[in-house]
Amino acid sequence: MRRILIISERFRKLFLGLPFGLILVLPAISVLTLPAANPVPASSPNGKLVAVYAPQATFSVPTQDRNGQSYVGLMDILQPLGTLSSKTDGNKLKLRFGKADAEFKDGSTTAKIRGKSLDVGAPLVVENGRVLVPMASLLTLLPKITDLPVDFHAASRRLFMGGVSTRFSAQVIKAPAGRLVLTFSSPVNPTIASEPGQLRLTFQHDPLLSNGAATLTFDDKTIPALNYREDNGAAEIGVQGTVPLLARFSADRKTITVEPVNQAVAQMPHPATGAGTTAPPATSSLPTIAASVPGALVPPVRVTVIIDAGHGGSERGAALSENLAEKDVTLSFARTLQRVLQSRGVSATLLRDSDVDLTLEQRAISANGSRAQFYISIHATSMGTGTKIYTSLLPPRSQENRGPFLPWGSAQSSYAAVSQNLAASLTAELIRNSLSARSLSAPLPPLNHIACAAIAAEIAPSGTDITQLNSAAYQEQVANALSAGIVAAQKSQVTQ
Amino acid sequence: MIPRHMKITLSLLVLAAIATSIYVGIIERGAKQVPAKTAELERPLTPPVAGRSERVTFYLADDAQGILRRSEAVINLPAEPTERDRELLRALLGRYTDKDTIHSLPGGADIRDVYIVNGNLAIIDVNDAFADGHRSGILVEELTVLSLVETLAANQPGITRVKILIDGKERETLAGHADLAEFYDVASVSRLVAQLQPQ
Repeated sequence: MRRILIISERFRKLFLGLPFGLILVLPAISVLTLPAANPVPASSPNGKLVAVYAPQATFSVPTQDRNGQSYVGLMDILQPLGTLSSKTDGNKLKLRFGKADAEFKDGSTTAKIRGKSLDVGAPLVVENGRVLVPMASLLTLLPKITDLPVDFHAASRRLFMGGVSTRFSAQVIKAPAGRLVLTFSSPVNPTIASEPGQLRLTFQHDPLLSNGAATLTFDDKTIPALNYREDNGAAEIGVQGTVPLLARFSADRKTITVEPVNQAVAQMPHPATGAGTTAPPATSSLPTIAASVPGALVPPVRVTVIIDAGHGGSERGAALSENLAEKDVTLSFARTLQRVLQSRGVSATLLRDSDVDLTLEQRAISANGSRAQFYISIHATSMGTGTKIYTSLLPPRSQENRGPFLPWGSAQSSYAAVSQNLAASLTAELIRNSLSARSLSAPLPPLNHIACAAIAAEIAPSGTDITQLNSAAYQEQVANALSAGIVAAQKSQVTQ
Repeated sequence: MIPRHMKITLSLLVLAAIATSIYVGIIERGAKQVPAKTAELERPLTPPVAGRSERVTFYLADDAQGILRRSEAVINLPAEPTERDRELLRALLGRYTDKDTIHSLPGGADIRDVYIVNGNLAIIDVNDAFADGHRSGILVEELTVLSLVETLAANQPGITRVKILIDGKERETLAGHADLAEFYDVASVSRLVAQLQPQ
């Protein structure tokens, strides 16, 4: 009887303990043993950019906040600067840039560059075939990888590589009235805005550096001072004025003259009729927005080619492979095409030069605002082989009786002929370079809204190897053919 | 020293936890497959038998060659015009469910409705699954749109414009490329389809 009681007592303890044990242990073990079905999402981009100025290219890359620190994609910086290849091995990522080898391990605070360990100050992040490095470590890592001198302005996130810089000097000429002449060591392309009491010149794409003082004062009542500052990947010159000011470019964009509106208007030739020639009203009252009228006294810089890397940001485009998104290939290829075009002396601008969201409408507005001669939209696909060149599906419209305004939905109709000519030229050059190519029409936004010769290039690998889309050699080959086609189309337009 | 009953309890708990984890993993995998299977079953495989037999023309996309193939078939279609057009396009989708299809559409893709406005404007309303699961790419999306528009236009004389809606709402693109915000001009589509015929 006693034995029966002992057994029953043991079972009572066993079953009483079971629910409590289940409550405590089961969730813990389940968490440890369950597959990671829902990984913690990466922090979203914070809208802060690092501007990179290098001899090869000027571009910007987004930063990400991780553990209270700013991180940046190292490959985003290296890719436009030369031949880059990478290989992921578990939680390690190996990079080869030119002749330099680098190895990064997820979570490690050191990176191995050319066989030597370098402290990066915070844990590295290796994910999705990319490596994120602490922003502060760029000054340590980049000179070792690229063999270039590097200067990093951390507060304003401006990265200068290879000794590129643009310096400026300022001089006030008093006769007949106060006039400020800014002279730059190389051509500049700032955006200009007029604010109450000052004219602001923002240099987003120019490696502008100050000669020292942040504020220059002048012995002039009209233009008493000039401020220089850097912020969020751009440099800014603010010219203080007691009257409304305007800016005028000269000497091949190496000189900007800032002068009072009434003085500038008096010197202007009478405006011709047509869009973009409206003169601002001459007024001496403050504040004014007259100086910011686009295309008035500041002649718009004519960009020959505007390259639009398709997709971007949350819009990833096609999943070309498990780790390869269309948006990354399009950006990488767009940068290659820009570099190749510039090496041929063709002015080319990227519409999207970082991983940002852009609506189709914003793309069309930017492209039309640039007054480019050619618009090239870049896409990539794993379907088929070679490159397909697409033009708008809109039927052509005669150039005759075209007023100053074009309908938004069918602006491209007026440029259908030049777009077809561009497409034919690109296709011919691709085929001439032994690359498979085909020309088609497609209902692809925003082609219909573009007011210049416009095409979309959809790039597929030459065979079945999808990784070829991301290879520098293949991108270079296609970019060379496309740039030759663009040059040929440009010559053809000039002779027509 | 740990009492024996505690050892037994802990051992059972560990076993239970591992078994639960494996079970949850199996359920999770199963759950992921269920919608696809359900969608597969929901897809119209054949046109409805009600209605009279008609000879119709399909324009079938061929991804491999990037072309549209013209093909004729005899199918049963209802007499009411909008129902007829919906069943016609459902029959077209049915062609893309064949095992040897050369232009696959996502599981569960369906035509919700087709509306004819003023005799010349057709509005094709497809379901969410049609767009959400569609492969992304200029050509692959273009072939789908052209296949729908040209098939409808070839079998419904008088249609001059076509608009495609997703689940009753307007979308900017099908899967990131093909324009769905604008109306399709049938004459322009037909010109393009003529270029996309096999040589």
